[in-house]
Amino acid sequence: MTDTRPVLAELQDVSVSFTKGNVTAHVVDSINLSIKEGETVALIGESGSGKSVTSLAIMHLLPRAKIDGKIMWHGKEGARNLLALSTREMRSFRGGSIGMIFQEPMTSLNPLFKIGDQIAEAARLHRPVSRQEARQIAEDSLRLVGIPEPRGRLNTYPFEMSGGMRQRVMIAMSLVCRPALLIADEPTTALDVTIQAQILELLRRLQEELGMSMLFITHDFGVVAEIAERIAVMYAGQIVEQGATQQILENPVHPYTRALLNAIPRLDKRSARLASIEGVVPDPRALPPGCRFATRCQFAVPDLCTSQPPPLSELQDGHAVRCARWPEFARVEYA
Amino acid sequence: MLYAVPAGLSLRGWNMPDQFNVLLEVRNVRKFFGVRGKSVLPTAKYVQAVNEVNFSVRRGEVFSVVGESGSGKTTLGQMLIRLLDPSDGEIMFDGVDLMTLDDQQMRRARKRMQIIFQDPYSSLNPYMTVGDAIGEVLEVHGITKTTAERDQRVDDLLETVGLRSATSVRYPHEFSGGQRQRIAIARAIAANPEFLVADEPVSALDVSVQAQILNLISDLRASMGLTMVFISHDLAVVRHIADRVAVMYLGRIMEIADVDEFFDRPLHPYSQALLSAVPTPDIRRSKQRQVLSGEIASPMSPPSGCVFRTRCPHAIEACAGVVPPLELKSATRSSACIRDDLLK
Repeated sequence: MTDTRPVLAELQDVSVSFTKGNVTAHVVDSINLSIKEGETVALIGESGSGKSVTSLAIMHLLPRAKIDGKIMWHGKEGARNLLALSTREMRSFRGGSIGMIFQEPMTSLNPLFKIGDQIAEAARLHRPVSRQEARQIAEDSLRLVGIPEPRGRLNTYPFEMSGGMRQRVMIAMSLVCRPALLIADEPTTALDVTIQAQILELLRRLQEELGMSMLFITHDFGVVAEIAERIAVMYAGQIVEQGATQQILENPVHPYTRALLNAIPRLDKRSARLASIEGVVPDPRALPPGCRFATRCQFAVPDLCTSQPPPLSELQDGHAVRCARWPEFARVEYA
Repeated sequence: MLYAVPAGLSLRGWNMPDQFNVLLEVRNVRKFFGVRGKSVLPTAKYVQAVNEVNFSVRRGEVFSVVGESGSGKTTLGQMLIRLLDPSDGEIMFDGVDLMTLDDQQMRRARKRMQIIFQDPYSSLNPYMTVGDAIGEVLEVHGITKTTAERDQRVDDLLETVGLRSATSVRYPHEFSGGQRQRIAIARAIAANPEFLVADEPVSALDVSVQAQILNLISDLRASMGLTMVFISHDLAVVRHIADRVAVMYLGRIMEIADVDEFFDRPLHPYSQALLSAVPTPDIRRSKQRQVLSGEIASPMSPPSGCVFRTRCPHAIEACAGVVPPLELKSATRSSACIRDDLLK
C-alpha cells in the first residue's frame, strides 16, 4: 500500500527563532515535514510547542523571526523555495496557492465590512474579475460552505452571525482561489461540539471535492482522529513523533505521546486517576542540551537522555520517533 | 429504594433523592434578562437564560451540568451561590431558600459555598500577592485572628494544592495557567466550604495540566467531603469526574441521569447527538457519527414546545405543541421528551 501521490509541500530543516537584545528563543527547531497532494497532515502539540509558529512561517507571517531551512513548494511551475520568495511574490501565493483559517473567526474578519464585500475583495486581489463577477464568486463560495440563502447573507456583518457561521465564512474566503493547500490553525477550538462536528464534516467534504491538501493544527487528539491521515507530534519546537494516524493513536512510542494520550479523559470508560505530566515545558530561551522532554519524562536516564539530543529515528514506513530509548518502548518488534 | 417526597412537591420532573441527603435543591428556577431594544422605551423582550430548572444535589456527590454555549449552565451556576438572583423559583441550600437570607445571613452562608471559574487569568486580582488573595478570604470569614495564624494557614493551603509556600509573596502574573488555577482552588477551599461550584475549571488548560487539576479536584473532594456542581462542555471530563449528569439546552434541562447510565445509554435525542459529536482519539469509533444540523435557537425567541425540536432528528408535530416536562423514565433518570416510543 504505497502512497504514490506527489509531494506538494515540503519543510526541510525549518527552524524559527526570535531574538530580543542578546536573548534568542528557539521556537521551532529543524522541522522536516512533507504534505502530499490531497493529504491531511496534523501538527499536534500543547501551548508553546511551536505548531502555530510553524504554520505562520510557511505563510511568511512572522516579520520579526529568523527562519532557516527550506520550504519547498512543488506547484505547476516546478519546485520553488517559499522562503526565498520576495514579499510581492509571496503576497500572490498567500491566499492564492495557500489558504489559511484561524481559531477565532470573529477576530479574523473585519467587523466594519459586510461579509460579501470581504469575500469579493479576496477574489479581486487574486483573480482578474469585475466587481460583479467577484460578488458572484462570493455568493458561490458561501453556497459551497453550506450557508443557507447565500445571496442575502452577502449583506450581513460578522457580528450578525454565530461562531459556526463565521467560521464557514472564513473557510469560504480562504477557498475563493481554490488553494492547493489549506492551513487550518485550530479551526474548531472555539466552537461547540455539535458545531465542531459540522465544520469537520464540511472540511472533509471540501477537501474531497476540491482535492486540496490540508495542514491541520490542533491540540486535540480526538479531532486528529477524525480528520488526519498523518500526525506529527510537537514538543518544545521539535517533532518528537510522527506517523500514520493509526500508528500514533494505537501504538505510540515516544513517552510524551503516550503520556499525552493517557492524560485525556475518555468518553468510553472511567478511570480512577488521570495520568498527568508533571512539570512544565522548557523555556525556549534556555533549552536543555539533551532530550527536551527529559525533565518531565519518567523514563529519562542520566547521560543517555541528558547529554545529547536524540535523533529522529525511523521505526517503519513513516513512523519516526525522537527518543534515545525507543527500542525499549516500541511494543511491536521492528526489523 | 423508596424516595421520600417533601410535602407539596410532586415527583414529576426530577430525580428525588432522600431529602435528608440533599444539600442543594433547585426548584422551578428561572432567570430572564431584560433586553433593551433600539427604541428608548423599555421593551418586553427577554433572554430566557434559565427556564423551569429543577434538580437536587446530594451531599458528597459531584453533580455535573453539561451543555453548549448559550445553554444557561453558567447563569445557573452563578445562581446556585447567589452571585445572580433568580427571576423566579427557589434555591434551597441545606433546607433554606437563599433568596430569603439578608446580607449578613448570606455572608455567613457564603462561607459554606465557593466557586472556581474557567479563566485563571482573570479571576485573580493582579495587584494582590497570592498570599493576600487567599488570606483575604480567611479574614473576611474570621477564620484566622492573627497575621501569623493567617500566614500559616495560607502556607498550608498552598501546600494542599501542590504549590510551594514560598509562592505566597508572588503575584498572579508570575504563574502559569495551571498554577493559577491551583491558586484559585486554594482560595476557594480556604474557608473550608461544603459546597463548590466549578464553572469550566479546566477548559483553558492544556491536556497534561488539565489532568493535574482534575486529579487535584478529585483528591480535595475526597479529603474534604465536598459536594460539587461541576459545569462543563467537555463530556469526557464529565465522565471522569461526575456522579450524576444534567444536560442543558437553551435554558432547560433535557436529561438527568447517573453518569454511567448517561454515557452508556443516553435517553434524550439531544444527549445522544451531543455524545455522538464528541471526537475521540479512537479511529474505529470516530467514523460513525450523527451530525446535528442547524444551530441553537435564540434564547430571546425560543421555539414553541420543545426547545430542541428545531434540530431534533426525531421531532414530530406534537413536539411544537407542548413543553415536554422533565419526567422520571426509570428509578434513576429523567428526560424531557414526549417521544417515549423511542425508548423501546
